[in-house]
Amino acid sequence: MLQNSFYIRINAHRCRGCTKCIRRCPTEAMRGTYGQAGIDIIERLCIGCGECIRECPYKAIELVQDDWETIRAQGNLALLADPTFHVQVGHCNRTGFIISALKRIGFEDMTESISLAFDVSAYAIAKRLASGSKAAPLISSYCPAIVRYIRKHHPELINNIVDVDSPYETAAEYYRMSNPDASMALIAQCPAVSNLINSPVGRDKSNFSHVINIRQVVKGLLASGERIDDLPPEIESGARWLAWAASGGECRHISAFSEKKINTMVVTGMENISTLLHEVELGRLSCIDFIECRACYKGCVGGVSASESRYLSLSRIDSLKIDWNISTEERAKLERLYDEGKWRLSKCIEPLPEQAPLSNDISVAVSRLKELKNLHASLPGFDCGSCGRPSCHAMAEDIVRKHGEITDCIFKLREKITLLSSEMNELCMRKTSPL
Amino acid sequence: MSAEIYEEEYSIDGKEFVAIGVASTKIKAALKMLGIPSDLIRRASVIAYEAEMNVVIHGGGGIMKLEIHPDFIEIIARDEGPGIPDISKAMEEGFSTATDKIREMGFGAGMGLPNIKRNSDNMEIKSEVGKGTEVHAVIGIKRE
Repeated sequence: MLQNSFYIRINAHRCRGCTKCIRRCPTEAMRGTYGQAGIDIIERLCIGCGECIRECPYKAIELVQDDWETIRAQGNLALLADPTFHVQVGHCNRTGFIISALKRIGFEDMTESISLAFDVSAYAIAKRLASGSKAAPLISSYCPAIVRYIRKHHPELINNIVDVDSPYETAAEYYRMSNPDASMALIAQCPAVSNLINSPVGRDKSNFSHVINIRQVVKGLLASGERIDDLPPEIESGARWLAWAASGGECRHISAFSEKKINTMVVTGMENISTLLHEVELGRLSCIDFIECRACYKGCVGGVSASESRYLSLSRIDSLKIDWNISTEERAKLERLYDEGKWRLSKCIEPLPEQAPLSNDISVAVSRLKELKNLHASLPGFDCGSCGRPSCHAMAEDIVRKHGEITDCIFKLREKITLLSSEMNELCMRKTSPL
Repeated sequence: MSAEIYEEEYSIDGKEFVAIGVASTKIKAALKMLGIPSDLIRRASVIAYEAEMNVVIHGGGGIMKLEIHPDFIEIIARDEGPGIPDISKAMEEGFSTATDKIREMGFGAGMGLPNIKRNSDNMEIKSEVGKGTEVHAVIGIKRE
């Protein structure tokens, strides 16, 4: 256990130990002590979705990232932002003028490579779907929290993840072709995306050397007093890749490249995802070709590091006049890039270690599981979080794994005190009986 | 050393169509904690799910039992429903007696029993018309 993961840090000065984050975590990856600052993150279970950050009333959970001022001072960096970034600033609904602002203060612009990379990703997925895959349905590889969730909790579905690299990395590859020495920074909408630079999926090394979250950049720009409303938009509002910020955008993009009708499904929010993956495992969704999964409701616009309300961002995306018609020249160019294969993952996605079994010896595991069931039955079942665990079941499991005592439960503690005090009382009242 | 056997029993309410899949989710969680390999867990969840469906749809409720022995997993589903008159016919892919209402909900494709058979190493059905049906499915646990 640790208080710093690669991407999340608990600020012990702000944390009050209210355990709200612990109960919110969809993978039960947090533990703490009620009323005491400091929460432990079980990195083995964490997928980086950022729900804990959203839940914390004291803003005590922070992202581990580079600092805007340092990045700004460094200059000479190429910035790549998720499409979500471009629909963050409100008073001016011209998409992409924020890129102009970044260019004016000295950053390189990667828009052209980004636009190509998203097209190629969608094109490659459409090709995969057309050729028929052995694992159906295919699952999007775009949301790194989902990929991590599958690698940890549904390793048998790894083959369903489409083997197309993140369009961020593909964009970086394209950019590097004309700028071999470029240093690149990623503007991320959530901890899972931030983590891509430390542990990229299906490749050895990320192209990005820095990461910063959307909110910091937007705040940094606005606070710098930079005039940004007079700038021309740098991105055409017809850009297809902008649609990926909202749920359904990826599917829409893939459909634009598909010759036959494909059955797609869009599922967002971790609770829904976990039910969905269970259904996929049971083989109930083999009639679906492709599932776009996003850990955040409504897609990346709902990312925890976004500065704007997801609904405002969505309405901005809706107002874009995205051009879904692909010209013959565009198609020919994409076919060339497809054959070049930079979109391909360079290695297999490996399963990640999940929670270990109760014991490696099955008969020991069996007796521990029985003990766990009995313990669980004896607990109140309120899932109140006062023991610093997400649920009574997690508490029973922790005890069986020797990470806790039954009296960590506040109700059990009360019972124990009542018992002790009546014993004490009895002892005090006991009369001596001399011979 | 006498190896311990793990048993769990779930009662399946025939009227609770919405709660379907609960027993199979529980079975999956238990197998995970016991360190059963993930491909076997997947097969066991499919068996449990299909068996649960059958108990609800045809049996009007019943019980499901999970038994974990040192070298095999057994899933037993039992109901006191109408029973199966012709078992070999019921085992054919696509054969279904489901009502239109159930088909509208996306079930009753006639794959339940064949799916259980495909995912188990050994399967037995005992059924008596008017009395009920009992399905036993066994998955062997290979040891290195």
